Amino acid sequence: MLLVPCPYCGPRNSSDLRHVGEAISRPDPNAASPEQWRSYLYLRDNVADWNVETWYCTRGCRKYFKVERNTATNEFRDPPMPGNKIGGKA
Amino acid sequence: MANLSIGEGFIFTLLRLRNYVEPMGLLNDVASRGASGAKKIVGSRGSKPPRYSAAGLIAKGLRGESWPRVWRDVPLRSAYDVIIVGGGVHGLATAYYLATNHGITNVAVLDKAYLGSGGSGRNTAIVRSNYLTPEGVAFYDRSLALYNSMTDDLNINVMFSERGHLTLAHSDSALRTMHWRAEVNKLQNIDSSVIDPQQVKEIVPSLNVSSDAHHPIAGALYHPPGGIIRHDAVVWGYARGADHHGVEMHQKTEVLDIVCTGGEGPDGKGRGGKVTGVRTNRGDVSAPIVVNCTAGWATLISDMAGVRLPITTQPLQAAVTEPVKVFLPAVVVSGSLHVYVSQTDRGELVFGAAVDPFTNYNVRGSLDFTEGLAGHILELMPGVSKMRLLRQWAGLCDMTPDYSPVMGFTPVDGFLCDVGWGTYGFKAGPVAGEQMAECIATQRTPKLIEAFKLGRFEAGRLVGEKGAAAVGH
Amino acid sequence: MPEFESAIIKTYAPNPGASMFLSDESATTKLLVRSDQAQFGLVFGASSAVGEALICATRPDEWLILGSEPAVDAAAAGIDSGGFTNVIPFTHGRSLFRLTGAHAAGLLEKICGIDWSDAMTPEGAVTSASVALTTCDIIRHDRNGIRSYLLMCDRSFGQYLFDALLDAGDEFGISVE
Ligand SMILES: Cc1cc2nc3c(=O)[nH]c(=O)nc-3n(C[C@H](O)[C@H](O)[C@H](O)COP(=O)(O)OP(=O)(O)OC[C@H]3O[C@@H](n4cnc5c(N)ncnc54)[C@H](O)[C@@H]3O)c2cc1C
Ligand SMILES: [Zn+2]
Repeated sequence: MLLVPCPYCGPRNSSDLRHVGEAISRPDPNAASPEQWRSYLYLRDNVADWNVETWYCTRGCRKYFKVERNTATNEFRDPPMPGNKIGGKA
Repeated sequence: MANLSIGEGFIFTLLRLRNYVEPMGLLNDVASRGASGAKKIVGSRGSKPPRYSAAGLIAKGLRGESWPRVWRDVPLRSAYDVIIVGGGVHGLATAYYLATNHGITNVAVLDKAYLGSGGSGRNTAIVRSNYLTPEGVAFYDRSLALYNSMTDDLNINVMFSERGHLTLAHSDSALRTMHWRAEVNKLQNIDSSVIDPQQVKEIVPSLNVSSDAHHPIAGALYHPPGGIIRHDAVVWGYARGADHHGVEMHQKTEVLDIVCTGGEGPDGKGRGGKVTGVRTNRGDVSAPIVVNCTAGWATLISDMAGVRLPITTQPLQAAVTEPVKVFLPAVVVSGSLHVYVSQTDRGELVFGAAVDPFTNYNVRGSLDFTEGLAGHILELMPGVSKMRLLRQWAGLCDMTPDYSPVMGFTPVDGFLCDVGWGTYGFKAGPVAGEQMAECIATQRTPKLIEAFKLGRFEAGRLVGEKGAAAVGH
Repeated sequence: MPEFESAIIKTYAPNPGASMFLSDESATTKLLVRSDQAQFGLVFGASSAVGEALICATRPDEWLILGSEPAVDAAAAGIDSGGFTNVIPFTHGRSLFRLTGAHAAGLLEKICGIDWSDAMTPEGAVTSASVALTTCDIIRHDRNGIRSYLLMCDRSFGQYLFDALLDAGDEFGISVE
């Protein structure tokens, strides 16, 4: 179990989200060589350290967001997150 | 204890009398004992380490003698012909076959913890060869052959129980994949066929095959030669065999950096470079050949040589129940339900599932896993609802995009990889060791692992095994 | 619009004296508004009654209008159609259930990871989460001072969710209504 800090929903169990993976930039498909395109597809840093990654809030707000997580300890760093409390009557 | 001979049953009884908790505690105990009078015995090619026998056990028990170390504890030297990083089944098997098949014995296996502390001591020990691609099938089948003769070859009982392996299909599309696998398998003379729910029930009576189950069983891929094995004995057997032929095993020896020259990256690492040795927490060691056998840690080690790998690290969890009377005769896998189960000779049910859903280097268990596992297992076998889980654990898996390994040479001369073993690499230990040893000795990629070269990703020639390896391992 | 008929099979005998109730309100008219404009002055997580209709901010860029057909039509007049705004009739695409009872939060906490205490999810709170492994919009909407939740999921999961809620509610003395 991992509490993932969704910037819209607040802390959520990881089972409510999908781990998309390391945040990587996509090369220009028209300019990239096949080798560049394949390294974009397959190669990852896979560090045992702080890493910026993308999550998708499947069961919650359905937003993609980036967050920094330490893959050795599973801590999140400075998550841009609202509190636990959910809205209520306006 | 269907697969044990009378002699071994007797050993276990004796061990229990002496208050050993686990049957194979025998070896564990020996392995961890101090280096009392260990003398260097280097076996000639073809010779085997001594056998464990009931008579020897009785004699030693009566005389109150202790057991010798299983492998020597010698000082780390400053140079070797080959350094193998990682003391799991892959590193140890590579060392063993380098010595036995090629006479290369000036070899050190370095492990940052203890031998078998990685996936090799944490897996659920399923071995089989009913894969999906012709390359995969030929490769894993060779491993199965080596497992079949291992007890004799290594002179240690690895308790290989060839009990049959069932991969259940719960949908038409899953059944289609099973037919596909069966046909690929048959072409390569693998005993593998699709059977219907009634035949499944005959093999495993405790399964719920009724059509009103939430995910009814539509059929199964049946693979009689598949089974389970004693993973610790395999690790210790290879370590003992390698030691017998002069290979050195160094535990608590962590590789901190790989020294290279001439490469295009910083510090002479990277493409076009050449390996000259490693830095460890116990000093520098030089060697012209360094082999990466670190599974879950694979990218951390290859980064040290400036080689990028298409690998991400994800934990895989497993769990075991209290022991009950033996009722489950085969290994049962359900890809759709994300679970698999087998029963040990001691009667415990061993469960596994798919990898954890995000990359990380943590081996903590999670409630999500046990919850999902329990729900799915009860759908298959409602009868086990009262059983209690005793333990759960996790190990790191080195996942590749196509569920096939990365083996052989890299763009850095002298730096080789035997990684990308994901959730399915225990069964590959023997063949991977054999082929990597040949690769190192001949400096050519053997045919059996040609398809698994690192270059396949750049070339776009993937070997897709997901359909056969994602949950089935 | 065709006459609405709920797909939920209710073979359970109702018990009017029960301490917790589950009702199928799938026939309620549902209108979904997806928009990059602020709508109804409601931010994600909040809800508000507009006339006879209930408007819920179900996602950062999504609002749900519930009620009788005339009430929903009347509320829909307040939609700001500037920017990129989509209005989608959802009545037939979703199941809607109401769970009512003093211990309704206790039931939800068995099968959903959200904190259903008053402090964290007060009356009117709107969220989306997994309930018994089914993605649901959940609205806290108390009835006569008794704790009550509206749960909306894909219609194809409706029967499963209905049965799962009854199963989980067994220990709380649940009954269909
Ligand atoms: C729960 C679980 C169930 C599994 N079930 C099955 C199964 O049923 N069948 C199957 O075939 N496979 C299975 N697997 C996969 C299998 O266990 C692995 O693929 C296999 O054990 C990998 O062996 P290895 O020797 O390559 O690596 P490992 O056994 O993981 O060994 C790697 C070693 O490298 C060492 N190391 C790491 N970094 C350093 C460093 N810097 N310096 C020195 N040493 C280092 C580690 O300490 C470790 O001992 C399972 C895995 C898990 C976790
Ligand atoms: Zn969210």
